[in-house]
Formats: sequence, structure tokens, C-alpha cells
Amino acid sequence: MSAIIDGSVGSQFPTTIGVGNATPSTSGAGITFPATASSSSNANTLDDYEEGTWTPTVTPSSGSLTAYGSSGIYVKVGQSVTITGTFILTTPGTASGSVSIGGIPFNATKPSTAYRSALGVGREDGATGNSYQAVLGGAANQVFLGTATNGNITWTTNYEYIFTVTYQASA
Amino acid sequence: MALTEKVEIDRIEVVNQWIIQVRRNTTIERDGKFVSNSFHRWVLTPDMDISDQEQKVKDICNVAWTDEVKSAYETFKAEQAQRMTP
Repeated sequence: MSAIIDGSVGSQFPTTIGVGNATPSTSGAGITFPATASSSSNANTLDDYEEGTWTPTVTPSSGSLTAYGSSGIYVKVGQSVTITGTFILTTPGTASGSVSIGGIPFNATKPSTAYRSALGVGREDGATGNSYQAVLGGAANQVFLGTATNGNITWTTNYEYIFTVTYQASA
Repeated sequence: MALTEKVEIDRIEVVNQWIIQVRRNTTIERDGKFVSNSFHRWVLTPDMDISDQEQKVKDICNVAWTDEVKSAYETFKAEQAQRMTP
């Protein structure tokens, strides 16, 4: 069944609209998508929206990271996913070299001839303000945060890194 | 008025052979009526330790990650590792 609204002055919906048989949210005003996306093959159809949290896992390329804290948020609009994450090196231990960050909320896809899925930005936000590249790729969908020259970060106590990447989910 | 919290894994998706996406849904209800919810997500790959995952997640992983899939993943991972260094 489809409904066609043909008003000369447009249409107003005072609260929420549920699509895909979703129960309209009882709070706020907006469009409620089903909990399980019903993917459309039509390239002009917005078929999914979701927001939530994720937990970045931090792994150094060398040595051992003793302790860190991390948190992350995401929003998915259609196939486009934007993740933001942060981690603080509470006890860096012997960690050194580059960092790979796992735990992203959705598997990433990439152009067929590319090895990386997406590029974003990062910053050491606790002491230096230094900027970094955030590169999403690898078999396990990791974010590699580092400088353009050697890919490393600085493993210093209480250094706090923040990064964001927008990428395309594979489903 | 009684507020209750319900936490459940409500989505487990196998993507591209070896990737498994998991979503945890936390729902708050007042007297049985929906108040709000929030999602937390993560992705699992065959080389991860899944001992702390819920049993239904483990079950899906064990079905999806056959020896053939694990082998293909390791090959893919090695190829990717060579290209991911700066």
C-alpha cells in the first residue's frame, strides 16, 4: 500500500513518521526507521538511520600498552557511517610505534582498486595539539592513527587522542 | 512508576564472509512502555578472542568461521598488512 499526499501547501506531520512498519517514536519529531534496516536497491532511497556508541580497542605496533581508556560514538545515515573515537594513555607501559584501533561499529567497504577504505583526521588533544592522519583499512577494519611521515604516535602518559572518520558501510 | 532496563544483543550480522557485526540494544521502559533506547556496536573477525561474547554470538561465529573462512581471512590479512604501513 502506498499513500500519496498531494497538498498545494505541503504536508505537516506533528510528531514522527514510521517507515518500513516501524513503530513511530513517541518522543520528539522525525522519521523512525525499522530496527533492522530494509535495504533499498534504489540509489535515491534513504533506508537506514542509526546512532550509538562503540569502544575503540588500542594496540601498539611495538611493546605493550598497560592501560588506557576509550570511548566512541557513531551515526549511520544510509550507508554512510561517521565514527568518532577517543583514547587516553593512562599507563603507556612499553608501547611504541604506530597504533591500530579496532572495534569499529560497521564493516567498511572501499573502492574496488583501493587498499584503504577511508581517510580521516586525528589530534593529540591532551598536551600537544598535534595533528594526525586517521586511515581506515586492513583486514580487520582498523583505524591507523599516525603522522604522514612515519605513522607513529607519541606514547606519553595522559596523552589523549581523538579522531574521526567517515566511511561507507558494506551493508 | 517503575523504570526497567532491558539489555540484549538484537543483531548479529555476517558480512563479507568473515566479518561479524554485533549490536547491543539497551531499552528503558516505564511501566512496560518504551521510553528510550541506545545501541552499542562492535565488529568481530576470526582472529579475535570471543570468549567474553554472549553464547549466541559465539554460536554464529563458530558456524561462520569455518577453517576455509579462517584460512581465507589470514591470507587477506597478510596481503592487507603489507599495504597498510605508511
